[in-house]
Amino acid sequence: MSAAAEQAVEPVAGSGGHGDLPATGKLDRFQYDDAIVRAFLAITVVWGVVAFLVGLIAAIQLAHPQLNLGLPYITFGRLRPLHTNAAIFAFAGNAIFAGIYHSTQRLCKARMFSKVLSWIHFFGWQGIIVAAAVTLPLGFTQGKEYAELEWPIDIAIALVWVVFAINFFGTIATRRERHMYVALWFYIATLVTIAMLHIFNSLSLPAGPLKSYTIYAGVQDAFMQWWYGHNAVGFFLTTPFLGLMYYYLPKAAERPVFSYRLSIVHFWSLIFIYIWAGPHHLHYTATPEWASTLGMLFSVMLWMPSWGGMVNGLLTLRGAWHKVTRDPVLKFFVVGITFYGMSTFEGPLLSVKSVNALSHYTDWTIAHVHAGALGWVGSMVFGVMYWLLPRVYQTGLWSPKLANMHFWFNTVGLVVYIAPIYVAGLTQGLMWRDIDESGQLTYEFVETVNVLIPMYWLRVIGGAIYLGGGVIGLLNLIMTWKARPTTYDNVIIEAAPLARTFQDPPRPTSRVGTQAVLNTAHGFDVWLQGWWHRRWERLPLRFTVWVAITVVVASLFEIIPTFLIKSNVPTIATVKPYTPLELAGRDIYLAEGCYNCHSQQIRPILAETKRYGEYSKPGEFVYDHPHQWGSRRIGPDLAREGKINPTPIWHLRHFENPEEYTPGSIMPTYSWLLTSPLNFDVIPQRMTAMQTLGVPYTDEEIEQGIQLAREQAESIAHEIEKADGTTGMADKQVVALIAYLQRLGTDIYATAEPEPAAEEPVAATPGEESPQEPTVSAAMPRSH
Amino acid sequence: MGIKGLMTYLGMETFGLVALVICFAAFVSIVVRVVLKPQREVDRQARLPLAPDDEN
Ligand code: HEC
Repeated sequence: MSAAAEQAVEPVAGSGGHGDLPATGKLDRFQYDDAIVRAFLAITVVWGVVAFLVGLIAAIQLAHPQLNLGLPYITFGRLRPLHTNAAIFAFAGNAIFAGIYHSTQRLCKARMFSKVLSWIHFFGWQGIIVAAAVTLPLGFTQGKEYAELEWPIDIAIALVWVVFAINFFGTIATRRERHMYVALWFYIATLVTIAMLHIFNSLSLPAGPLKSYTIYAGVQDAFMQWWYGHNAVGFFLTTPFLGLMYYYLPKAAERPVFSYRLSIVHFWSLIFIYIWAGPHHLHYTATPEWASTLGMLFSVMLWMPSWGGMVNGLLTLRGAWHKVTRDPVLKFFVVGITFYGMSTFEGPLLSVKSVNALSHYTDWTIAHVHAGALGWVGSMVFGVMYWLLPRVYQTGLWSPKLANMHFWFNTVGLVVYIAPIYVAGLTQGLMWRDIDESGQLTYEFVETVNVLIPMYWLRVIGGAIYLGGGVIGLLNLIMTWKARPTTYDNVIIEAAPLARTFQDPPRPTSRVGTQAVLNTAHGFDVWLQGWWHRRWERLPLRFTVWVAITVVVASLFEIIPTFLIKSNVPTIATVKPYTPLELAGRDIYLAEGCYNCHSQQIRPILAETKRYGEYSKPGEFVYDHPHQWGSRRIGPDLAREGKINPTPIWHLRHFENPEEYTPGSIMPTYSWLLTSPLNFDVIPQRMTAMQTLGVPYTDEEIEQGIQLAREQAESIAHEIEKADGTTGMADKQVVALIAYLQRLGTDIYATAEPEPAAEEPVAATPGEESPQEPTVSAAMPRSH
Repeated sequence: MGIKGLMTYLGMETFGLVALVICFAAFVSIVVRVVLKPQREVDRQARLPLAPDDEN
């Protein structure tokens, strides 16, 4: 803390009521650091507009794939991670930091701990965002949804987060208000949990400067991934914004929160329950039954805190509704809190297995996340922004009228976005499962895509309106900033420092009468009076430790058994590591972000096994670092693609122009795969990394990696040439990708033998029975 | 029997149950304590964001 900003002055009347104010104590004089708040606030809106714009381009591509102009960099599979990263880490992230830096100083009656750390945090975070914006379009990705960034950027994130944590806890430690207001608890939970999630989910082994493989494989990777993914929603997009709500809503409404007690219960129930609900993302997939059932139970319990929170927020406005009609800040908050209630009601609903069976892999999920991201997070961000603008820039808001207009763009855009996408999700989900009288699937996959196109255009309109709102907000910010005073008036704050030694109120005595009761009863009554929890609330360190313990314990209970219980992933003898060429092809699959449109996970549901074949087994993914199960089927599942489409020429032509091959397809063209050379040289390095992670490649195989890959590439190129005379494919990326696709899902049909299965030509016999589950037919009803 | 063996022997239900009970008990104790918090204290704490000296 800068010494200049802190100097003791003569005592003014103590504010009293703290129990720790020496009557003759001196008051500290200091100033809040709002420069950092201004920086985070402005950049939030800039990145927000970028994130919405990238989202809009991605949305248009789904309705009109040609918009990628044949450029790999802006094709859907690479753009979608850019959009999600920008929305979550750049837009929501910077907004969180702006709000936390502003409110923490006020709630602690202390300047931020270190100006230097504040600015390292600011520039470090923006550097990370720029690095993401450069690497993702170039195809550098770990291929893990919502955690795509490559290892050097992951390390930078961890370091910047630590800087933030030191700065934040330093401020808490030097605070002048004994009680930590509930908003600070939400911030602490965010800090602790995000650190844990990020570190454990990102553990990976580098296999090059911008290439790494996660240490987890298959089912375990999926488990870690959704433990992370789910809790990141909870602790990056929920808890910090709840903290902001509990601070800025009372501010804007000029009245305290409806029930402070309820806010405390809200906090703890989120902490206790949220972590548990992660596995609900993996219903009907190859995760153990118990885990998803437990996830479902806890998800349903989540209704309790979320509705408590919503009611608490809305009731804070009781008697102040007349203000809501006038104040855009409150309008944004009302919409935000309402959407918090709605999407947290919907979340647990989606985790109910029977609902999930229908909703999973469809646009329903997309609608749900946008109700949360645009409705809750977006509205809260803009509400806080409009509250902060006149205060941090110390001038009137440039145009309250435009702020109102922004509110309507925000709300209408959001509704026009999500309504058609809910319809799209339901429509496609129902069409996928539709079976006619003869027991066959009613619709081809591509038919279920084509009906969505009008809804995709509606989404484009909704997204454009929302983006328009963002642009209005940015304009208002810029113009307000322009009207700022030449020098900011730095208000001097006076507050008494906390006494070094705090006298706890005496431990209460038992209120139980002197009747003959056990000593334990007295002890219990003392405990009941809650004196211990009041102590905690003042002790940031202990409080933080308890929050950490709660989330860690819950996580451990959830994760450890997945790794340690033997029966969770039964091994399948015929499942072998990928060949060197297939591994290279898999890397292309990751880089192109195919997982953004294709799942690789067939659920044990009749309509699904009819369409895609034998359902997926946990043991099939043991060499998948990372897993590629995906979460949305914009295209069909590819888990058994090796059986569905065995011929190289089909894939080649399909990549070159999907629309021509499958009329109505919205898969982008990948014509560059037919011209870009495959980098054979990196293959041994990648195999070595995989070997280190436990994939049983022999040293010999690695040594011969390049040669083995070339041989397999030659043989595929030969097949292509035989089919239609196309030559020169043996050293192109496309052969590697084809090799990988031909291998997918074929291992369980192989007969056990020492050679890797895919070295042989894959025999696809429609109707062949699976050796594992002879009762389920693997017949492919689809024609191409 | 190593740790894998032990965990396999105990089975998942045990873990789920134990964790559920621990979390539930901790949660209930906090709720009880919150309900018993003196009103005066709650009122003061709830007003913390509204402190006048922190405007701007
Ligand atoms: C924008 C979403 C999208 C992306 C990105 C995408 N696909 Fe597709 N894909 C589709 C759609 C839609 C279909 C179904 C229509 C068709 O056959 O073209 C499809 C079909 C396929 C099929 C045929 C599956 C079958 O059994 O009929 C394969 C194979 C395939 N995609 C592979 C890939 C690969 C590999 C990538 C990454 C290089 C990729 N796709 C990227 C949307 C996408």
